[in-house]
Amino acid sequence: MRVTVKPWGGPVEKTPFGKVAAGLFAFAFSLVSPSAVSADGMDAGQLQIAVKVLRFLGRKAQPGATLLVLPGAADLDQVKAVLSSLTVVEGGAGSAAGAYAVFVNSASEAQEVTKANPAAVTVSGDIGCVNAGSCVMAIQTTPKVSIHASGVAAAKAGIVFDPVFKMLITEH
Amino acid sequence: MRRSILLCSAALAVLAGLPAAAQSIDYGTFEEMFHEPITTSATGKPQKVSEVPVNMEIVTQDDIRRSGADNIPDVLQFVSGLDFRRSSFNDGEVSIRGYDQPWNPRLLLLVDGRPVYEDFYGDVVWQAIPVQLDEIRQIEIVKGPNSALFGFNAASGVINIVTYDPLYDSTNVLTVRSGTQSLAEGSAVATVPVGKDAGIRLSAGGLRASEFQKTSLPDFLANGMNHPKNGAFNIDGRWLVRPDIELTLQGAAAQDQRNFPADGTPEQDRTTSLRGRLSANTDFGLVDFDVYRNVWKIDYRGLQAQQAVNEADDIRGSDLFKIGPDNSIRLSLEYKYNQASGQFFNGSTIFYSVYSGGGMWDWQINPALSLNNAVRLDYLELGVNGGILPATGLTAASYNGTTLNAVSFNSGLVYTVTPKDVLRFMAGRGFQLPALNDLGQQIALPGNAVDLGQPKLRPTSVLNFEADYDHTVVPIDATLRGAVFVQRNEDLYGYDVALPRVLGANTLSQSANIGASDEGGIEIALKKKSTDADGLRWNLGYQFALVNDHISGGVVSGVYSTFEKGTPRQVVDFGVGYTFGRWEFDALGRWQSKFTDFQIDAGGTYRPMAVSDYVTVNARGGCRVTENLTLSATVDQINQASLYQRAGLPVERRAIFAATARY
Repeated sequence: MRVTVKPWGGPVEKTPFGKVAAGLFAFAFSLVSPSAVSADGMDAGQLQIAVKVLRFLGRKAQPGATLLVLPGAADLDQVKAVLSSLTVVEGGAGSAAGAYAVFVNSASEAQEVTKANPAAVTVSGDIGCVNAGSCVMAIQTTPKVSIHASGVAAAKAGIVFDPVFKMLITEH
Repeated sequence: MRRSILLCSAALAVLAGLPAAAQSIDYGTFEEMFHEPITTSATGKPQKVSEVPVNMEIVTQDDIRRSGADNIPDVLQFVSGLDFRRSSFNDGEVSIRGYDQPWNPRLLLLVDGRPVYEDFYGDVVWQAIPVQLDEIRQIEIVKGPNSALFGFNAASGVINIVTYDPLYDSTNVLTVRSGTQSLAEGSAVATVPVGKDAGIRLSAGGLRASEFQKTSLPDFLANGMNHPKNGAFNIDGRWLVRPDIELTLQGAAAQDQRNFPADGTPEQDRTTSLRGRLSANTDFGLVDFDVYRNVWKIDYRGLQAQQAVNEADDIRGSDLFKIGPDNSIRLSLEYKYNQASGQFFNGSTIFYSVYSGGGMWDWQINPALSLNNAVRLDYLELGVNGGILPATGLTAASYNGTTLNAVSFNSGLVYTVTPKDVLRFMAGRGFQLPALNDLGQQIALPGNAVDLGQPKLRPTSVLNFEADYDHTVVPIDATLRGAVFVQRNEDLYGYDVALPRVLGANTLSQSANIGASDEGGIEIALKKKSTDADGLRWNLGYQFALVNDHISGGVVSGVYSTFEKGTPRQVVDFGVGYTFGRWEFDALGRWQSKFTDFQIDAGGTYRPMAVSDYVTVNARGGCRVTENLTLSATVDQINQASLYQRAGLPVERRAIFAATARY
């Protein structure tokens, strides 16, 4: 992937990533809208990071792979806008079978997902989910961005992290 | 060259046998993800800037562009804690926390981690750094010694210039500049993707100008001066050999022509470099092999015309890995061979080998507290091939067999007190290695006298203790940083052309260890946090430094200035910028208190020179004419027609008009 240096304001725009990149960029603009922040689950800022995080996992998502969003875990339309290369669906934890990644609200939801699909990458905005060893990752954006990962949950899901990425996150 | 090929082959052979899985730092993506820059210049480990255990400043591409500067030192002069002195159009010195001097040896400059420090004189030749401003992603400035990571000469600090990565970044920029002092300047940067797993970035640039007015100098100095000019070319290729192994090949060439008015010496420098780097993620960590060769050709056309060639070959390897979730370890080995030959050495060759080993341990004690410790051992063996002038009183045995050991360390404790408050406590010791001419220069002079290096010269050690406090000031969206530091410099040395100048029996000048110096200081800086495309940006900083020399022996009084007098006590830097729509306006300023420099007089004798306190303000206005074309006008030193930043030529006001096309 290559980033084109913008003529005004620094390097931001992604060029060769086609639809995914365009989606990311469009989504970034959507952040200025107050409605971009959902009341529950991951807000727009967390979601933007969560999507990027998936690129630093050892097991990559195949084109068309399913990303399951549990009710309230994130705004479905926002996820679809960002992840046009994946099939984004909303459903309960029981429908996690075959999903590459699942956005969840809590540790209990993550545990249900894992029962249905032990290989699913569970991502949440709740750090408690990672602390409980239930979610693979959790995203925090305030007061500053930090990404938390559970070694236990990652091992259960058969996930390894990109080594540079691993140096930048907080492992639990 | 043969040595470099052998070293490179060895590295390739080792990596070929590694089980590997993915490696590379995508600075842009990580910065977008974490909303702050990423760096490896603090500890060798990728880290968020807010978490590094050092005092670090980051100058972004946006900062560079909006400064309107056409050279790196002009960008750095407004960075808090940095000292900058220009002595002619194409020559200036940058130092960190005082102790600035001609041929400043205390600052290590890197480009993408490769040292571009010139070991012959022991300084940074800023005009011959083969990097165009448009290809710089960020400039990372570490204040305080960092020899435990980078080795010799990271004494007062380190500056690492990080360029755009042709694997991840597409950078295509053409810039032309014209202005006062008959300036004609241009640069071009282009990225060429090679499939989806490789990319090449090419850059080239150069300038030609007229020198500042020389009426302040004696005729014998002014008459020999050259027209300032420089040029550089760089090619940087990166290839994901496998999804897991990245190969970097880089080549660069640059030359400059500049004048040192304080010493009356025009000089030409030519440099070439080759680099190969292999990095991989393996079962036992991030493994990195880096081989480079730097060659400098120095053509000194001063009072005694001399030429020299300096060749440095270096191979280094490191392994970075985590043990459990909270501990990161980095182990490193390095070998460097460095030699210089030419008329400076009476036709002989002086050389040394440095064997180094180091380790770094980063411990996340709890979510709010981390401790980083690093240590490094450097072992140097010195030697000479060729004759030794009898007048020096030395023999080959004085060089061969001379060794030295240096143990450097860095420790840093980072405590996140609240989400808005971070405390850092740091201690470190770094070393400034005497330059090759300090160790081995032997220039025959009339009357059986010599300019003399000293093979037994000891490196200067810099011991630094520091406490920093960062606070986020939410109501004004700003970051406040306060720093307090104390520093002990031991085994300072005087040498040929800098200060203090040391005279001995039968010598015009000679290198010698001359004592110690202490420094204490505070720095306070307030900077607006977010740098939105539209809106206001500003910063304000204040620095106070007090230097106390303990110099003794061999110094002829009256012909030198000390570090104590040569370091300005107070500096204020400030900046403000505003963007609306297609327009942006910026002003950067600096006030600096007086200090004492030295300058050669009409009789050829060095005399102290008082440099008055001064204010300098640069202003820039830019307009985005189209999506791809920007026009800008910059006036350097808008408030004064000319002023002395140090001994030498008074620095003149400059007007620079630039057109930049990005595609």
